[in-house]
Amino acid sequence: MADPEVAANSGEFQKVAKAAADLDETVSTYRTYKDTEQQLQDAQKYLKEEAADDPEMAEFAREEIAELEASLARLQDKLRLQLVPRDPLDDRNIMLEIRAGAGGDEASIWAGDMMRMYQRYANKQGWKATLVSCTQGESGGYKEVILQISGTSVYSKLKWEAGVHRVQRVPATEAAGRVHTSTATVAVMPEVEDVDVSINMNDVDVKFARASGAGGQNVNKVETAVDLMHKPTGIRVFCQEERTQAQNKERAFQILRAKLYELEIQRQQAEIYAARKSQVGTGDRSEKIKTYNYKDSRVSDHRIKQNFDLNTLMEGGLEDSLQAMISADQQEKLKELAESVMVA
Amino acid sequence: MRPAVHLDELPSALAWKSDMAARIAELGDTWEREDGGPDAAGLLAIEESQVVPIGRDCLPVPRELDWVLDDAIEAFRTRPDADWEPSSWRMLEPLARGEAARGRGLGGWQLRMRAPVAALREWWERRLRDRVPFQYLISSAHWHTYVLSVGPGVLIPRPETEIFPLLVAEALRRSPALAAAPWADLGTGSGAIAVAAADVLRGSNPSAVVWAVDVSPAALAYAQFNAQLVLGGSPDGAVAAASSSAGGAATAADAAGGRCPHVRVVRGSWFDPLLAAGLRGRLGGLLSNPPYIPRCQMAGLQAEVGRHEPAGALDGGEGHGLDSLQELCSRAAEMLVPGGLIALETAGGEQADLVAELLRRSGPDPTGALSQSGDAACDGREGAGCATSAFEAVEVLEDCYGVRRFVRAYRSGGA
Repeated sequence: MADPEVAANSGEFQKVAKAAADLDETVSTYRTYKDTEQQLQDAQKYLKEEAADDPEMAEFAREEIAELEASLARLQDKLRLQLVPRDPLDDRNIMLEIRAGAGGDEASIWAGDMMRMYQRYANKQGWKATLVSCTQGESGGYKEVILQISGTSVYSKLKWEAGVHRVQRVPATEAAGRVHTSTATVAVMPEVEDVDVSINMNDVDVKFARASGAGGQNVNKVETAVDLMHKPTGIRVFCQEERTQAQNKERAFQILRAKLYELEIQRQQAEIYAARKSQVGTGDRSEKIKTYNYKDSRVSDHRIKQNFDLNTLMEGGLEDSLQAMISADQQEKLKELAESVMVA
Repeated sequence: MRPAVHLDELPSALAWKSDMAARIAELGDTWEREDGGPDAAGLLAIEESQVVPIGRDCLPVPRELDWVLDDAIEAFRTRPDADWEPSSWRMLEPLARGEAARGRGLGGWQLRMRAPVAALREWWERRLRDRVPFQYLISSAHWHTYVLSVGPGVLIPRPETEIFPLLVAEALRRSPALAAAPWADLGTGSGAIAVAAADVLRGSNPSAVVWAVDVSPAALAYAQFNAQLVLGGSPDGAVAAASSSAGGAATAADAAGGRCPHVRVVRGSWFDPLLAAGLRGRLGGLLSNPPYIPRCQMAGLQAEVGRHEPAGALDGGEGHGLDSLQELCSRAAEMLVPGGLIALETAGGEQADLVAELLRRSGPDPTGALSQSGDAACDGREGAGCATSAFEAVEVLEDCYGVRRFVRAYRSGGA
């Protein structure tokens, strides 16, 4: 950090400072652990050599030993958790995409309900959620919607929402009152930094809304839509939410970069999770992760086999279900760490 | 931004929108047939592929209507005793329609608005009856990355014109030293080009200056205001910092406080005020979107343009409409430093080619001013080009719709 080149680059400086702070915590836990270990040894030695003839002192030493052993165990757990590698993307802001799946109009309404759920959760977290792009459904809701969510450690929480969310309820459009199943697919794309993705401009077709006759001073038509096509991947981004071309173009490229980056992360994670045979897993968009059952007012998370209250969730009370995923993931990683230590 | 002090009912906003959408649908393409104005599926509406049905009838949903609601609405609540939820119209509408589709009434839903629905009705009456441009109604134009204040008497900046800041950035990459020289935007109008250019230039030079010239006092007031709005005033003055508007947010009359140090607004005809300021041969760049519509087309313009925007910003004169462009080309060479940029917007096509030709044919030293001042523009490095033209790399550039519209060149003799 004393390197003037690092200090001059404030982004780099913040990263290094953050990494140092994280490391500091681990180091201080380790020091406490070593201190406690030494105290335990001293106490044991004292019990054996000096307190052997004094029952009162021996009792006192035994108590101390028990306390020290307990805190040593706690410190060991803490240290293990700190040694579990952190997801380097955890601090990033995200683009959250919800696509209505099977189920027609009802699926669009469901996608809209889910968007509101994330919006409310973001409000509770003190995050900022803004609409980036959308296609409205024919009876309300969205066929497709992208929110940009920024705040503290957004990705670390919402990455667990990626996948297929299934709803079972009586749709608005169903007169007979039968329960239907519809789905919406959530993709969570971490905000991209310039170094993460480089796009060859020759690979991108950029089209603006149709030319309007003479154009220029002759007309006043507010056409600002931008249509991007990334030829190598076939990803198409259409942006008309912003009011100027410059902004729609910037937005469209932002979405394209995020999508390309997510593809890359998915590829990497597929390899990692294949190697780990993870039960928890993130990022597989086709995985059915939750079922929202309106009749029983219950949401089942299929990954951790736990149920949550539907109304609480839909009101934005996602924290418990996300924490459950985070701790399931930590447990799994700890287990792996333990196994790898044993192998070594 | 106006404060959101008006309480309104959501159903009245929805009713306003569907009333207007119905009237626009009724208009159909009459405007388009009359004068090439917006048709229901074009300007006023989202692209055909995005047409969304309202109620029973399949009507196009007008984009301008959504935008004005987006500007006007700050928050909503589902019951008078519920908490306000901040939201934009674009996030609220799909939710409300979903609720309605589920058979739930929207009766108790309330909106906190910057302008009441009644005001929107009044504005849109003028939009539909008098074809007042959308941007005049809301007193602001979204352009490039800015929200600029506009009103009657000033040309509304067009999307094509968003190319100027890119041209400035390219010129700086070609010769970074240009950022140190003063620049000029001739016929600045709302100040859009001057503001955007200054924004790019100040990235390279904290004391960058763009001279914004116009003959219209109204335009100058808007340009001055927009420069302060977007770039901030001088450190010792109070700064109007609002960056977005909701229907009539800001007018030039509000322009108080410190002047923007990067944009120097001056009144006069084309180069006159610059010459008076002693800027001959000193400009790093010369930018302009001058009046260029051939006079014979003026009578048939789209009503929003012909009836409401200032003719002085549009009328290019008889024939090819080159009056202003010719004047700019004839004296540009003597104003620019070697390597300096000239970028001009034109009506496109043939007019652009004619302007490019004017620049190519500009003599190496039209006035003798450069040789008097001992300038080394013709020191032989650019021998061949220099003998025939004061400009090099003269080209016609396409606008975002593929129309060959902009003419760009550099003063010969630069690095």
